[in-house]
Amino acid sequence: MNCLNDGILRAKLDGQLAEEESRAIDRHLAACAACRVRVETLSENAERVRTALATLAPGPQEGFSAPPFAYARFQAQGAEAPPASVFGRLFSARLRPVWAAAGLLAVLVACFSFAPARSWAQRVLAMLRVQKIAVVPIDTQGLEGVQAGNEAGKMIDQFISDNIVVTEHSGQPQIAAGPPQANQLAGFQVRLLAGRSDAPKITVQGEQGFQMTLNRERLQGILDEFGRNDLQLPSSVDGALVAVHIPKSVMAVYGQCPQPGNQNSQNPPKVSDLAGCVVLVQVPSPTVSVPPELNVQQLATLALQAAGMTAQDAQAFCDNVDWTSTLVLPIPRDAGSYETTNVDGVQGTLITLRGWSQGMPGYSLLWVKSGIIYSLNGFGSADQAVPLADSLE
Amino acid sequence: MDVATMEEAGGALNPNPGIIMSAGEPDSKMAGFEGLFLKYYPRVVSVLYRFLGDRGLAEELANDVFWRLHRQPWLAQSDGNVGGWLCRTATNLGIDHLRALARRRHHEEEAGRRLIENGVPPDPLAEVLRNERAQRVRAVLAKLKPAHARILILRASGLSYKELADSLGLKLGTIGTMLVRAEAAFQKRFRRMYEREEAL
Repeated sequence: MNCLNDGILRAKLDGQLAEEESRAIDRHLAACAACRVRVETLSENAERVRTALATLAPGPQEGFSAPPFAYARFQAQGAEAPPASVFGRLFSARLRPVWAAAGLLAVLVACFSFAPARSWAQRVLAMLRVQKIAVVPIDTQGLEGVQAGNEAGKMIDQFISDNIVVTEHSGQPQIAAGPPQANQLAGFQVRLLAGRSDAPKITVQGEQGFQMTLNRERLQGILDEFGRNDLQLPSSVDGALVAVHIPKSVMAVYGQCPQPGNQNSQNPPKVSDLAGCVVLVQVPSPTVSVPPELNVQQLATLALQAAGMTAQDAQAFCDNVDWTSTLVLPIPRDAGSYETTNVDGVQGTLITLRGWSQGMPGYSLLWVKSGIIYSLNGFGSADQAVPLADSLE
Repeated sequence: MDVATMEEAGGALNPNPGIIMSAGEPDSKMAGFEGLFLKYYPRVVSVLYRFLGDRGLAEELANDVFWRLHRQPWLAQSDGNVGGWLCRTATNLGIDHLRALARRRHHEEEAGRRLIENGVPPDPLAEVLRNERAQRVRAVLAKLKPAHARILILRASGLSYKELADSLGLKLGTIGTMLVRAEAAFQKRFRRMYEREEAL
């Protein structure tokens, strides 16, 4: 028997070999002094590392929650999480491949044309702050091959998991007993719908932040998987960082609304209940920090092409958008329609979705005023959206 | 940016991202998501704690892990490797946070603060020394290749070679070799960073 490799010897030390194989190794070791010395060395190394890593084990004082208690908390978090809005439905499983693709495009938008990686601290950052919202309809036929479980979907999931670091955790949403407490928790003046006679359930979500480190090879691999290897990422994106900060947000839920995570529930809410469901979200504009040399317009043009737009249409759309202040929301062309409208003294966007829960249509009204993004979401006719929004006080 | 931001603004973003198992019936036969949660939660939170040294954060991230599982469309058709998926996801999250914490250099101060908050242990000096060593071990892990940090933490968490192979997508026969390499890398890095302070 030839001398054994370290991997086999290591498995032997850990008692991870089958009985017969283990006996064969014992016979070899009895006859081979060199392998006995190696086993001794491996054993000492393994024990040193094991002892060091043992310091990381939770001590008795840590007392983790018992699984049933943790599960109850998990469920409660689901119940307290933001009720499904129109956007929630937009992010439903059916449209998930579209959004996975759109998410990738957003990443691409943020990463094209970065200068070669330099120390983050040395950069003078350009701050993008949302001051208005624009909607762009996209055709999703080109993205139909992208499913969450297939290669492209897995690559996107893995990219997000490996490259995004959450720098600020929002924690559990806090329930506010009323507007004064909501103001205090949120740190800004919370506005509510005077047009509704019922009291809303108000929750305040903490600040959130994340950083994204870009990896050109993997991003290009995803693009290739999409069949768009005609779009080539510059090598300068590699290692670049994009930082996003989302301030505290407030959600006011009126009426009976479906709960996220329970979309496949055997007891879905009745259509008659959904009619009264309105969700108002307000959040100060998030900020995105990127290197100043970022050519966002160029990136956006390419990203929209990747989403199925012709080069001409993408160019025409991008020429009219101020990318340093506009949040662009792509929506699938077949999911609904949109129009601009006057709301709350400013221009807003009203998105009508054709049917997203038990065939019931929904709407989402979006606008930005005094640095706050508002989103009013509900079921039924979109006609009620603007009057309701105008009753904010 | 657009999508993520709107999702947050719309409030529809549930937190997403966990581990393993050995014995017992296949996951596909378990009584749904609750069964998976109850089965894997202790190990997921334990793995995350090893990375982070903070019970609250470990439990919060464990919740994230299960939210991610909850949203997986393939969950219903799982062929039994949910444990492996959870493991991978938990270690990825753990490494990300460990590195972020290392960058912010708050780690040691946090450990000291937690020690104070948790009250005085029976042997304060031993506890201080243990915490100091734990912070050094985490600092070393943060500098290793993720694949090395992953396998060391998972093995220290009690996973068998078979479970490691399932979780890390490696062949069973390569686990021993991977462990030897990871241990060598750990010792080399530890000595480089802390040779003056303490022996490994």
